[in-house]
Amino acid sequence: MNFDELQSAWNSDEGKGAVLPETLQRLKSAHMPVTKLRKNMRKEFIMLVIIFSLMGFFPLLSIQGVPTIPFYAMYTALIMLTVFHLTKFYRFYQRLHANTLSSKDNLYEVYYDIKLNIEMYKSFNYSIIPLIMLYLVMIVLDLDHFTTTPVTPHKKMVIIISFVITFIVAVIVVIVLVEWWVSYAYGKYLRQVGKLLDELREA
Amino acid sequence: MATLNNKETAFLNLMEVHKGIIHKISKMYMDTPEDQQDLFQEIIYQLWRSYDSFNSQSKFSTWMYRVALNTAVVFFRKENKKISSIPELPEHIAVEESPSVLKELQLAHFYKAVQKLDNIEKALIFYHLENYSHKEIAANLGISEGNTRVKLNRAKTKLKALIKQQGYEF
Repeated sequence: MNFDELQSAWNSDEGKGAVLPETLQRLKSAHMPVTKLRKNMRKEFIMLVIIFSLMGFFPLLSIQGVPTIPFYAMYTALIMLTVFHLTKFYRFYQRLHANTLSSKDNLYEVYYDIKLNIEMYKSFNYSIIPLIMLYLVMIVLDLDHFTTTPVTPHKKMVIIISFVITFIVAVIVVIVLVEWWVSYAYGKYLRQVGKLLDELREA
Repeated sequence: MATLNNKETAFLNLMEVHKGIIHKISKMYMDTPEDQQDLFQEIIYQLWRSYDSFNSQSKFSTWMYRVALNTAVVFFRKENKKISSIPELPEHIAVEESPSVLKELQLAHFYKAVQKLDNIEKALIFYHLENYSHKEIAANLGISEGNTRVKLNRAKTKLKALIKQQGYEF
């Protein structure tokens, strides 16, 4: 066989076995990187909404040391942040891809769309950190109100240092977990498209 | 509603004419019949979604190839799916076999080999077999003509070597 024979064989192939769907309404995209990424993120957001809804009832358990006002202040801010990010994700979700562009332009568009979604996802997770800090500050400022015995300056200092250390450790843990999860769950889509862009580079 | 139905009917009629070539693209990019069917469906979906952007002034096949290949290039096969057995190629064929059987054998070797190429190389081979010039391929892929020429030659050499590895003379 040579390329002329291959060309002739290719032309004779009628693509038998191709079956068109009866209706287009039921067709869904399931295998594109951006579709998969958004599907996973949507699942996570639904889980978050459930968790946040349940969190609203937390102070009702009357656990000592859970001050109600700072908790609901943090909770309201958390809900506002979630709504803001959900709206942003939804808008991106509705955006159509111009897959009629040249392959290189299309790949760049997909690449930056994935990157943008990942960065938005990260920013959402990181935006929770200042809220936790605010919550802790509110507790420290109002410490006398939540304890039955008077708090000595020394004891107050120990509590503040404990809060600062807990906060720093929590921030490090959140950053490490978010970065690991994003790389594990979503990084593969970015790497795949990046590899394709490499294939298109000048020889 | 009637307009949507008319549009859908017109689109499906076009797909009926071109479904063979979409199936050929699916066979180039995926090795199992299940993945080929998934890719075929995804391409139809993406074509339908982009159908409004088709400008009737341009050639339908050119527009369709772009969308189909852009879809195939980034397509993700199903994860954790059992790998179904890929049909083995016949080891021997008699010289006196009919030309159609010979062509089928050549195609079987071609598809098996081309599936091992990179996704961009597959697109290059596809455009080449569809008789696109270097200039046209370059425009569709978004790369320079010189780069197209170099990459296409490399892809052809690689394809030839892969077919030879399968024990078929090329």
